[in-house]
Amino acid sequence: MSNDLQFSLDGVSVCFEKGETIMQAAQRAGIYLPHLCFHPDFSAHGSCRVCIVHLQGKTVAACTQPAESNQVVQSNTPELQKARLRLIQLLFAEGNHYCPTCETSGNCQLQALAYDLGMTHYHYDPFMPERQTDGSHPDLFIDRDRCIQCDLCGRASAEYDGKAIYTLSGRGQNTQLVFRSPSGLLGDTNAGADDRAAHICPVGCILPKTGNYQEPIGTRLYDHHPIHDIGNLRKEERGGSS
Amino acid sequence: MLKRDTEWLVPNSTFPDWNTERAEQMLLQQHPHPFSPERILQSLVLLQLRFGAVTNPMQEWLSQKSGVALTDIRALMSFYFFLEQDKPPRYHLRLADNIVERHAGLTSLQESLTHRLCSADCRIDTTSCIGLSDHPVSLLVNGFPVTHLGPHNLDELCALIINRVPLQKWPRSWFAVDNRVHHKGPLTSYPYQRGKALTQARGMTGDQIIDRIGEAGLRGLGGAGFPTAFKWHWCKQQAEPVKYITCNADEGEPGTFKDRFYLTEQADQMIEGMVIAALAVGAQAGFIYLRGEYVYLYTHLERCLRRWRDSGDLGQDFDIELHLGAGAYICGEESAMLESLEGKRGIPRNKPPFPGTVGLFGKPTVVNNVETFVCATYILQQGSAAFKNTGNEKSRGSRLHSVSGDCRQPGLYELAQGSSLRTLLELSGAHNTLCAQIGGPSGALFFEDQFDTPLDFENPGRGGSVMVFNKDRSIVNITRHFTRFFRHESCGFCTPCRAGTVALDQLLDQYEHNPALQAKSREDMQELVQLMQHSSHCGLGKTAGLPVLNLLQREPAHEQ
Amino acid sequence: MKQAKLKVATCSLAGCFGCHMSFLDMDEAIIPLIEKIEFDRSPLTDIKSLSDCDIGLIEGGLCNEENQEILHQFRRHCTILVAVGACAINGGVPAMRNHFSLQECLEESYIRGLGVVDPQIPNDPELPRLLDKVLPIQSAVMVDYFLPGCPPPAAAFLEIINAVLEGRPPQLDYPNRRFD
Ligand SMILES: Cc1cc2nc3c(=O)[nH]c(=O)nc-3n(C[C@H](O)[C@H](O)[C@H](O)COP(=O)(O)O)c2cc1C
Ligand code: SF4
Ligand code: SF4
Ligand code: SF4
Ligand code: SF4
Repeated sequence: MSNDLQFSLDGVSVCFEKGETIMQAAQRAGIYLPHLCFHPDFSAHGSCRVCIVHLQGKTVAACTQPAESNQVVQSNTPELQKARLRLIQLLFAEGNHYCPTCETSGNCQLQALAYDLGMTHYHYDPFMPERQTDGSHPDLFIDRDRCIQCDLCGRASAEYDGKAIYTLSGRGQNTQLVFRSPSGLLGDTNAGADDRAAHICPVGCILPKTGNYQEPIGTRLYDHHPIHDIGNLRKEERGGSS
Repeated sequence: MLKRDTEWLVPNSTFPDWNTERAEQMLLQQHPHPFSPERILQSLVLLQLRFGAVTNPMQEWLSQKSGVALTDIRALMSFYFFLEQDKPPRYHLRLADNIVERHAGLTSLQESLTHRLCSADCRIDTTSCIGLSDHPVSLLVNGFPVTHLGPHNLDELCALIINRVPLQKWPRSWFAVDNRVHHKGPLTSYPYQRGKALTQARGMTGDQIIDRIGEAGLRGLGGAGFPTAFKWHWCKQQAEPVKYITCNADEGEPGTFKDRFYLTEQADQMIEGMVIAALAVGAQAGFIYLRGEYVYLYTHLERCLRRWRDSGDLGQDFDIELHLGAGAYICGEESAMLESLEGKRGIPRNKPPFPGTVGLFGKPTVVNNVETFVCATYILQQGSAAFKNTGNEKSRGSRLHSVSGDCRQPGLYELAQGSSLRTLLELSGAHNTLCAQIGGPSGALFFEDQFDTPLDFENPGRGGSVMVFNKDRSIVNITRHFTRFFRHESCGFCTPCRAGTVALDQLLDQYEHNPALQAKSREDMQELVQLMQHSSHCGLGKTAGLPVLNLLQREPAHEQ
Repeated sequence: MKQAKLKVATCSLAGCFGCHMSFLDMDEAIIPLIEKIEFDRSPLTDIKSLSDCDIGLIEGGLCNEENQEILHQFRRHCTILVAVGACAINGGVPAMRNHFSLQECLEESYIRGLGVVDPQIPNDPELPRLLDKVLPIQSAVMVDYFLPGCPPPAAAFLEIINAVLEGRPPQLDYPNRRFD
């Protein structure tokens, strides 16, 4: 009976459990679908759109699309890889990403996807938004220039830490990361440096204040290993996979 | 005491001082639980209307009373552009900025207003279309519509403001909204008898009602043209005992104002349609989501609802609540509307599940447009055949078209589904026409060789609204305007739309102004529009690039 | 028969010459390369005028009007224009000034800054006028190829030149696609 619960992903048959999304099933099967805002431990968001796949003539986000029997799903096509490249380029263009100066460079998932998809430049003119930093917390530093609005910190904070500190505010291109404190400063929340939320950011927006820039180039996560081989890892998750 | 009376909801130029008792009393008159988290947005809107702003202390007070974090209240304030935290000026002029108003001289009017009123106690800015494109140039003054502003009455307007004349003393004619229907059809001329359709419905089972709607071939008039009977049937089938009916009166698509007519002239038909839907699917409560731009209709609608309530015609266990939006086009998207009704930022939900399965507060919910409910009442009173016999095979009945722009008689025209664009252009006295935008910016642009296209669900744009452009208009300008509209209204949730609308705007600029990069920007735009169509989370991003596609398809044929 | 040498021009706009240094960093690989290319205008040769070239390598983004002029000159004279390094591609480190207004930047550098003597904002008419924002070169001209990195590794330079010599698009392998 359980044979019924399978679908085809790039020609490979993938089993799934009832209620799973295409992304969840693919991960269990060890197939990497490019993504940024998805994390297996938290509810799906569906905002970065990097995990788009073709599903019988439609384009859907694998992280929110329920898996169904006998679906035919395509992910690794030149067309979709190109679309993902453009989405990554849009994310670069809309923030202020100066990789040479960024602590996360080499460990950054946005950058790693860019490398993997063959990105050499932004393609779009940089938007140069003006965004505020927040250094009010004793142990954490916030550089919103690099935020990609994925709400992973928000979900980790609400669903794992039980604190609901991080969230998104504003509208359109003015969407921004905010913190639940009367002053709006992170330093006035009960955020901890050990919170899951403080370590979940796929880019270099939420950073520890100490111990930075210590990893030599060449030893960082994605210096030699493309993200499709080792997955969306965080520094402290080396050896694991997500 | 719940009285829902809003005698204060009239054009005001002075606002009472805020204090907690006054605020609490006002909120309690509108709703028994103004501080419950799902009411928080409505309370913000009401505070804004009553006191002219929701200042920091008010936000803090509301946060304390409701337990909703101040940060979340600020997040609402930053999403809904009609909520303001600065103390209000005596006059806040929001000029409607649709392309039709631009063509009617908006830019120079705004310049001279800004210049002449620079030292007056007033603020001048623009807002997206306010549903009055047939009265250009229109604006909201402290939230209420003033129509037909032009060089002929500019002096007078400035004098009123400089002389600090209270808004209540402004000439009534300034606020006049003309809802005349220039070409009538069944929906606008049948002898409606209040309650007759409902009496019919009460004598039927839910399935029978749905069958009636299905036989008539009614399809949703909010944009997508989804079969209404199917939607109701799906909702009815759900095992969950609690269900809701919601009426989408957000009418945000620029150039569209047909719901304005129904809300003003046929509110009873709309309410009756909602009660019929509730009977059909077994719903316990209904909600009307009225766009903030139509706040001038709020009291009128509350009164209509009260009459229905008082006469017992809403039924024993059914009531309808009126909600106000606050300047966010995206809240017309059904799932964003549900989020907004729940008191949150209007971010569209993931689908599936669709509202029919998991809707408002997680319960199965019917979402229909105002006109769809009006049609349901028509069908129950006049019979399925009466509806079905108008229109064509796949698009039954008739509908009201909003016509604006370069024609002699902008306004409302009811035509059978499938009537040609040419007919509508002729009726409205369009002359020297270059092209017409059908169904708003997210619809389609038709040129002369397409004027015989039937306006129905099977053709691009699907009808409903027509903006007419004559041969002096520039397609590039029109395209830029629509593109900026989407950029301004993107909710910001997903990458392709949040960043894509900005990139598209930049590319359009490059296309127009940098000859060296013209070919490249053309290619880039084509590709980006496709990306947005395919990868966006909701309909806004999926359609936001269509105006650019229209432009590229026509260039260089129509622009030198 | 000996092939005509590839003519290469280079320049540094709003950059730090780091990219140029990296180019020279290819050790002995430069010897065979010199057989195949010759330099036209470039800080490496000190030739000041630009003639028609096969490749133009642009380091740095646009921060003033002189940059704009030189870039357009390069575009006119070079068959293939390459944006070299983060600065040319997205503005790079100099673009970090885009957070501030030009006036703020000038005041910080010449008036309020640490250790400023005789505070005044330079206004010699000979000085090129600064742009409001530092821009990548692709927002002004068509760019054929991009060499990312700060600076791009020497191997990436080699690849681009070999690719042009062989008449194919450049292929940067994983270790040579880097942004830092
Ligand atoms: C961006 C966007 C805006 C929309 N705005 C409206 C609106 O203002 N009014 C409306 O009735 N439907 C609007 N819709 C369509 C609704 O999502 C929904 O399909 C409709 O309300 C369903 O009602 P119907 O079946 O009666 O047409 C919008 C859709 C999108 C994607
Ligand atoms: S967050 Fe990633 S992409 Fe952004 S600057 Fe840092 S390393 Fe580069
Ligand atoms: S701070 Fe990081 S985790 Fe949080 S929304 Fe921004 S990019 Fe995502
Ligand atoms: S497409 Fe646009 S409006 Fe829709 S969810 Fe994405 S960002 Fe929001
Ligand atoms: S990219 Fe890096 S090395 Fe090259 S000029 Fe810019 S700062 Fe210098």
